[in-house]
Amino acid sequence: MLGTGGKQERVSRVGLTAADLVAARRREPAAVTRVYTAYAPGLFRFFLAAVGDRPTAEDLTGDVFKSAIEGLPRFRGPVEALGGWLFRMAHNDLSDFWRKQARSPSITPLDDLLDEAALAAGADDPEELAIQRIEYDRVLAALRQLSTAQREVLLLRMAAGLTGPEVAAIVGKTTGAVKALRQRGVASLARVLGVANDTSPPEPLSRSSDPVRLTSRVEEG
Amino acid sequence: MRRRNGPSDKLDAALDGRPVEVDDDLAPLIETAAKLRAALEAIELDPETVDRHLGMVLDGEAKVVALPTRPRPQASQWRRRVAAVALAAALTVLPAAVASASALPGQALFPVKLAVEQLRVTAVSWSSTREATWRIKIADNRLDEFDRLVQLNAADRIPPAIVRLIRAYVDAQQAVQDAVGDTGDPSQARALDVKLAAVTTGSAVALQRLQDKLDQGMLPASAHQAITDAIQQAPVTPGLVTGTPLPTPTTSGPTVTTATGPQTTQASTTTQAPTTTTQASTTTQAPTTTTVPPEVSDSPDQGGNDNSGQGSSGQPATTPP
Repeated sequence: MLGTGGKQERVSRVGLTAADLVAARRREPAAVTRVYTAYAPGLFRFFLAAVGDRPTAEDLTGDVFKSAIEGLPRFRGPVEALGGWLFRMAHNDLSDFWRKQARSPSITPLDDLLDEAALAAGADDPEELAIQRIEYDRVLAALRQLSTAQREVLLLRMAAGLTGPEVAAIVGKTTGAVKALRQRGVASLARVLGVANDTSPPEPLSRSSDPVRLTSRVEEG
Repeated sequence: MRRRNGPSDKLDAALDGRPVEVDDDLAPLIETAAKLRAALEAIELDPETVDRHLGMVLDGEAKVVALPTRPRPQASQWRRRVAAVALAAALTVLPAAVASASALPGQALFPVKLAVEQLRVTAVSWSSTREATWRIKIADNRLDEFDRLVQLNAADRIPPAIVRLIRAYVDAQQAVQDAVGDTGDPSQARALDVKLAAVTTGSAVALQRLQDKLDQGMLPASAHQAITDAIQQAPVTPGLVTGTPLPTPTTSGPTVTTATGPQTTQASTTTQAPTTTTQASTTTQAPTTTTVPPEVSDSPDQGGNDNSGQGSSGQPATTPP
């Protein structure tokens, strides 16, 4: 149990303090909101980039957040470890999600990654934003063509902002293995996106964002 | 022995933003990582989703903070009581997700409301026009809260509400200026000006209503000084509505006019509204009669002691006292 004395000055990478943690355990709205504001955007990016479906990613994010707040009294680590703890839950929930999907596959549309309504309503340059959106869409679709392990390692690092050792602890691999997965993941992504300067031709990628085609390529790396 | 400075280590360093020598092999990986980072950063939560998620956790936790009431003229007493009870009932029975949208300063869900607003601003920060639109909406929210507190005669909450209104208004005004500078579309600039002007007018009306209550003695005398001081710093003053300065309130506070000048330092003597005190010490008043509010420098402790401030940095001041 964290005390409220000498540890209060400890601040996590996302600006949470031990006092925030104590208050969030008591469900104080301001502290709960701070925890949410600190981690929910990363959780949502992690889930949406992984599953490609906005409502599903929103539900997964909400479930992890709710479980985390409810389970916070059982969290014994320092505030700096909260992110790793949360994303371990996220990792487990995502694994459960894929297992359920494998048992009862459903076709879910690849949702728009940016709010189209917002773009239409107030875009400064709709054409430029549309091109940008297609590019983002293309990158994330390519990401979903990586192996599950490569993708998760990349997302835990880049969407969640976790360190190598934290990622290694979550996925149950050594730090070296995580580095290698990340290296191979980025290299594969570069090839798919046509960025790699190797001699092999870039893998063609349809702009259609067909969810069946995208999710069917999930394989262990 | 671990091999250092291999491609993996270099990529790691590059991902961390540390300087690294980029060779031909590493360059495409760095470029790819940058593309992925940009794509991920474009993913944002909808504010409605944020509200729903927070409601899932906070639902049932929120407590309705009793708003102070005092005897009022007979004619409107029952109506005000019904309004107060209806408000409290609504906040009690509605899910937190919905209730936070109407939360008033001092209530449990008010920080949630501020956080949701801030997320909205962050989500649209890629467009100065959209950010300006949201900042105006936030100023309008502060105005609505202020107006409701006046209606409820919540005297102790009114001065901080005015301070929050000022800050939100200044943020909105700055955002509109930025947007007008950025956009080449005169119609967009005009639309923003019109929206901001609506808040300005609404502020004047609400402040006039408050002034009327002060004049009629409907608010505790002990609150007059703090309220008067806060009014001095508001975006507009009742004088703008009536065209003539209004009578000085029953306290020894300064006359409500548009040019208050150094009188704002009187707020430092009040114990009713410490946030107003801070505000006053950092305020530069507009020199002449104008709808332009005073420029308020951002002070991290201006949020008041009700855990509800929101600075121009956009961060909801949810730090507990």
